[in-house]
Amino acid sequence: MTVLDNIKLGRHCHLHSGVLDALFYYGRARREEIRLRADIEEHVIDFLEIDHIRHAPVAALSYGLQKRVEMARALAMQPQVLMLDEPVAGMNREETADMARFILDVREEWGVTILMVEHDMGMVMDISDHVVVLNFGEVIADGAPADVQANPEVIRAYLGSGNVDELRRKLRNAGVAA
Amino acid sequence: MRIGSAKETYSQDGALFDSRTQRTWLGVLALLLLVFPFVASQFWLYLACLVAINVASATGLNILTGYTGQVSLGQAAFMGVGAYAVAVLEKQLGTPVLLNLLGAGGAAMLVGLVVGIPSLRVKGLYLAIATIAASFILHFVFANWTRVTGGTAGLSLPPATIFGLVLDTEFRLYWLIMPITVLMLAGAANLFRTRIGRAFIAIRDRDISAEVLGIPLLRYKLLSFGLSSFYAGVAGGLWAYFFRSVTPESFPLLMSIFFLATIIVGGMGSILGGILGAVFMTLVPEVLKLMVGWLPNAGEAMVFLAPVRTIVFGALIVGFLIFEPHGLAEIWRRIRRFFHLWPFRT
Amino acid sequence: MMDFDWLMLFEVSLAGLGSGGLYALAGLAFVLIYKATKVVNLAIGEMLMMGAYFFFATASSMGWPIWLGIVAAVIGSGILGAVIERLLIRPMLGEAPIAVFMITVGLSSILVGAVELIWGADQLRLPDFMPSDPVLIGEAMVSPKIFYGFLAATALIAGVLLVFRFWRGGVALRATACDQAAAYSMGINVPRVFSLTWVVAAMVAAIGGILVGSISSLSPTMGVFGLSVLVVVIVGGLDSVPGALIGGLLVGLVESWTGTYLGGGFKLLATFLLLVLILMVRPYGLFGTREIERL
Repeated sequence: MTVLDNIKLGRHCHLHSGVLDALFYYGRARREEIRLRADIEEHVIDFLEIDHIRHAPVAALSYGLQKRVEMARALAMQPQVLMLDEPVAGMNREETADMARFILDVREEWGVTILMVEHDMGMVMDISDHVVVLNFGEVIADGAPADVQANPEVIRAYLGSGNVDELRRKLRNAGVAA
Repeated sequence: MRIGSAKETYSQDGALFDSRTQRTWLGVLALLLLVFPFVASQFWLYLACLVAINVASATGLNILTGYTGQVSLGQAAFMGVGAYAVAVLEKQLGTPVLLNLLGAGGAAMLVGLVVGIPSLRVKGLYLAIATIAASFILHFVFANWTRVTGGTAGLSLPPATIFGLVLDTEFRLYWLIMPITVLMLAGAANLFRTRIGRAFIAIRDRDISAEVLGIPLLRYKLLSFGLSSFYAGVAGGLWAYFFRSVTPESFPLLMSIFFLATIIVGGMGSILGGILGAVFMTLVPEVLKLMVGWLPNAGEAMVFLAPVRTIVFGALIVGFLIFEPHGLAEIWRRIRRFFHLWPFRT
Repeated sequence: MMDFDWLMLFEVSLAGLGSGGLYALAGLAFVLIYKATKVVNLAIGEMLMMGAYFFFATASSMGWPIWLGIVAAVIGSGILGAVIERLLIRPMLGEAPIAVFMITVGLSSILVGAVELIWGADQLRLPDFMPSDPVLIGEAMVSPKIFYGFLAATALIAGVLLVFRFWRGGVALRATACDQAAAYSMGINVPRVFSLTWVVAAMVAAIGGILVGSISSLSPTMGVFGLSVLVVVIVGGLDSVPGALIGGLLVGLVESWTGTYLGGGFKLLATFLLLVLILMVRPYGLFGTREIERL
């Protein structure tokens, strides 16, 4: 499927043409398709700067561009809440910066609430309004990025306390062999 | 050399035939199709009608297997349902031809919906085997529901009549079969410009992800089965009007395999592939017969025609799968690319 | 119920079990291929047929002694299996399973056509080589061919089960089917595993074909047997050797019962209804491994 088809797929649930409309095409389905295309071009493709690849088959694109197409498809769904699971996993610096910029733009221009799960500390601290840190299933910090960054628990979870016995004890308590 | 084609409106970009050259060639093809029956011999008219019926059925199978990814070996059985429906309607009720064909499509569609129900539970190969089972069960019904289907003797029907004109020659049947086939092709091509077609392709590529995107799997898989068997039913109805006799042996499992081979050879997942595949696979046995007729001891060689045909059929499937899995449509695209880019190579 | 003919039920059941043994043998050949290469071989019926025709060629046409004819037919089938694997299956490594499935469909067409070309479309008889006195089990009579066929089939299946139990190669087989790349990197000679599997499966199929051909007759349409074998392996589980045995016996029984009590025309219907039932209730068969789809 091309990039354009993928993005249009995201809008699937909001469209209405049925089988007979589709078979005949010239009428309801055509109007709906043209309206959809205009809307996507204006709000999604221009927004995410993927106009140069709109007719390319997605399998032929680079990983970073594929992720951007996924974002575009998600936006085509006109969501109220956007959930991003490791959106920049496997991306280089440039792609990560682009994605961060787009995520911020989505929030500003679309007014969408974004829930992001991410390990890239730089990105998390730079763009989040509110950060929740989970360690082995427990919430250990919850607040603004600056506060979370300074939180001793968080630092200990990431860098350790330098105390090997404490680590051993913790792991044994958690039921993992030590 | 074609550098690009500039489009000025979105509707132009979404058109099926988007360049002046394509539209011209399309016009030439339409003209040829109109002129053909007046210049062709009865043998070629017969072949043309047969090819058109096969194109219609292959397109239906392509919708289900090529575009939605649901492998089906039941296409011939659905055609059988359509053929029997037309035979029964024509003989018992004498309803108009076009209504009968719609009825045939509808009957086949209902059966197709039932056969498609396992498609949520089983996938891929298991679904193919389930359709083989359905094919056998339908064959059993054809052979044993004697009251309706005439049992193993089958049914024979009078020629179709439209507005008093009796369609009893290939020339007249051509004008029934060809326009219907063209309409069905247009419908299928249109389908994949809309949300329903996109949903089908998404189901083929990754059905779990399609479901996450909000496409209800069972509904769309059933829709695909229903649509493809509607096509098969209409094709079967046309078949019944063409051959005027329907027996349980008319639609064996081998025919389903033939249609699957047709879309593989032609190119799965492309309308052009369905057309090319059907034309190619229908003409190959005839060409073989011609070639055997040219041999010096033609009379004796004829005995070998049937097994050679079988071998060639199997060899075509194997050959295309190993050497050109995207089928004739891909070969066609390569030729087009060559001419577009000439004098450059890539 | 006292005048219900228990003896006939017993006889019919024995006949069903007997033919079930042959189904199990064909199912074994199928399962061997699937276990090692994940290929669904729809041409299994035709491979049986080739074994039977090779035997016809050696023992009938060329007049060799029976035992030599059987050995030659089995070896010939093995060579055919190797050729098929090398030419048709190896190039399709890594392609979609349905594509490989269609290759075997094409293969079955080629084999049927070749047989018809060489030996003609008429039915042929294989030379008799099994004792012809009817076998008595209790009061029930069993056709001798079916009885000895069943014995041969069970012996072969038992042999294969033992080999898998005690031979390290059984793990190699399953590893290759699971993940070819990983098997390669573990030092398993994947191409050799493929070839070996197809050769052995073809030889097993040849024995099955000789037995089936002796019971009924030879014709190019013998391959239709393969559809019933498909039901057997779906019922038993595509990758389970004991499943092939149980499935074979079950299908044999069902066919025999419906054939006797409902009429011959209902046999295939009953088999396929059984198939549909299993597909709806337990798609992976009675003993097959559950395939988990991972995104």
